[in-house]
Amino acid sequence: MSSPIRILLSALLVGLALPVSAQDIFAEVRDDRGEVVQIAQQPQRVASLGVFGADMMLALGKSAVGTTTYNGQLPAYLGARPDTMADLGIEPQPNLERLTELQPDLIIGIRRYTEPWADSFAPIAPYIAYDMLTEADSTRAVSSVAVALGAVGTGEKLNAEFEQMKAQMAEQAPGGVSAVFVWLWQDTLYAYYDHVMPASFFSPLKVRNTMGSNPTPELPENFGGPVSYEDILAQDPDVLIVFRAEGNAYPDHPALRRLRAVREGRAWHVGYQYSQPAGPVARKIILQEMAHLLYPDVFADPALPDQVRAEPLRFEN
Amino acid sequence: MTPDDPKQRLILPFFLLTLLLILVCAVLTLTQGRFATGLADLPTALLDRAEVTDTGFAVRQLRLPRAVMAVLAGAALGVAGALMQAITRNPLADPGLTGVTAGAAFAVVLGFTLLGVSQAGLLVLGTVGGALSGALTFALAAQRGFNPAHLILAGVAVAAFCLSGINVLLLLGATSMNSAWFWLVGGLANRTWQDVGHLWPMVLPVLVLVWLTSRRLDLLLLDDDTSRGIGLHAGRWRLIFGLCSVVLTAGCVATCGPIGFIGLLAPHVARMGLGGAVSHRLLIPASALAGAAILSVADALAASRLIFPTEIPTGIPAILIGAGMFLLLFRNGLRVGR
Repeated sequence: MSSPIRILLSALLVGLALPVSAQDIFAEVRDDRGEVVQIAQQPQRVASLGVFGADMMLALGKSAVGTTTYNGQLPAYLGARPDTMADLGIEPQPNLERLTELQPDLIIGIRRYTEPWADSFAPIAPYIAYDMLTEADSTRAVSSVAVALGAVGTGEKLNAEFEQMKAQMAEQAPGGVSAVFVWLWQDTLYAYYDHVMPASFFSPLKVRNTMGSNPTPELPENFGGPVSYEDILAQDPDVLIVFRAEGNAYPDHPALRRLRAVREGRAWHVGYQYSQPAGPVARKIILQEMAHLLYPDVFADPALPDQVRAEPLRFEN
Repeated sequence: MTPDDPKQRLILPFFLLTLLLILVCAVLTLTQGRFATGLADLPTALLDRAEVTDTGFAVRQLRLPRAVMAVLAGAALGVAGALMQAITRNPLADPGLTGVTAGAAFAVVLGFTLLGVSQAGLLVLGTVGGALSGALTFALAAQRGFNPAHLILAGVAVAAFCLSGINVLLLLGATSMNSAWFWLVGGLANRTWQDVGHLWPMVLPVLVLVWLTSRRLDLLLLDDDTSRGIGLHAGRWRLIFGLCSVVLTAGCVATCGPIGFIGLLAPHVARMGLGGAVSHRLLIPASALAGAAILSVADALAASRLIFPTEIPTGIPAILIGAGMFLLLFRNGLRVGR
């Protein structure tokens, strides 16, 4: 038998030996659970458990069919309305009935919240989950989800653009600034270590995070810790970035008013996107805004809608 | 108790010892923190009325209110516990038994997560929430003539309702679970003079009122028929003392979060320190001092960073101390009543 005929026959035999389902697979991705997830067809109806999936769809010029919310509130930066994007409840306990009704063909979730529900998602649609705490997590998730959505190469492109923007900012950032990123709950301050987004953006911007690094690096999910007002007063950062959930009261503690950042008008209350910064849109606008808040003379104020942009920290009285 | 009674000899040492413990803890609280403050610096810092230095500010605005809160809240919880143990005739009763702790915590969480209430508003809301829960418990118990068993059952039901409400609010609310958990364990860190100003008007008058009427507590330990025979309206006094416990506890939870074990433990420590069963005339101030001392020690430990590298909520060492001392008390045999 001549060589070309032999090759042709071999190829035919290999083709016949492949299972039908393998031929039908549209994409195959490995998520942060270590699961290899096969997606049969290009997803058209993506359900986002956590904001990342919706953010990723926005980056691709599309829209998720539903997302989890904070008490019914959609993140303003997504520009979504409740009538266009269904409310799927809260991240730790998504509304499975609503999720089923939506008939999604892909479910994207934050691993630490949604993994316990993986078995419940299986009959509804393929489910992929990511850690989304650090910049490396974000990079990995963007690449992987882009493949799952059929935008092969787009994930790498988004990541490369972000890295390029970060590198340019790093060149321009003069340094010599200290800052801290805190959550405020009642009178408890909770500050982020520097391995977790968005506090991790301090490093490329040559900013010293006064909270420092994770004392237990073997536990990357140890993303922050409570700080006393005396601690924060001793740290006295140049810039204070505060995430205060929408609808919660403004702070009213004498130690906060004494901080240099507050006295000099460099304490900021930032928007919802800072609570889930892993998406390609969120991380970009956060980095641009943080650069401006940290170095207002060097970086221009990014053009953001009013509901999204940071506001000077206000006090109750 | 006669002057020759051996218990008489224990009164002064117990009161002096607890006062000394409170004082030592207060000094520790005033000198611990990120701004180094030696004993010698303390008078200068305390007298720095303009709060020019950060040390002066930290001592006067952060540490001193904290030490005062430990005494006020500890005393309030200690007395609230003694009241609950007397009116229910149950040595394991604590102020949370009326549902007031869970009710106050529910109100604070509701105010923060959904209503966006200010810090000052939360203090009021927490107190009102606790008082309403306590009132609901007593209203339920009133249907059975304030029978102690029914009071406990009603309190358990109200507390369970409020606790499930807290869980729902935390799941629904736009909040960081870690920070919420920090508050729900109970603590004195970051308390201000505003908190002291909210708590003392509730605590001091009630403590005085309870002490002045404390002989009725002794009589409540008798069965209801005997009490009635000597002219005491047991149901009415149970309600009055129960409401006093509710006010004391609601104020504490609104300002410090739900700190456990103090109310349960302090009356037993007082009895142990005083050598056994004593009149409530003695037990009430002794429970107040014991509660203040236990909470002061727990808070000094929480702030010291001896247990963990970071400061922990006061509620954690309070529970550790409480559990350890309770085991000790169990070994010696718990005493109910006086």
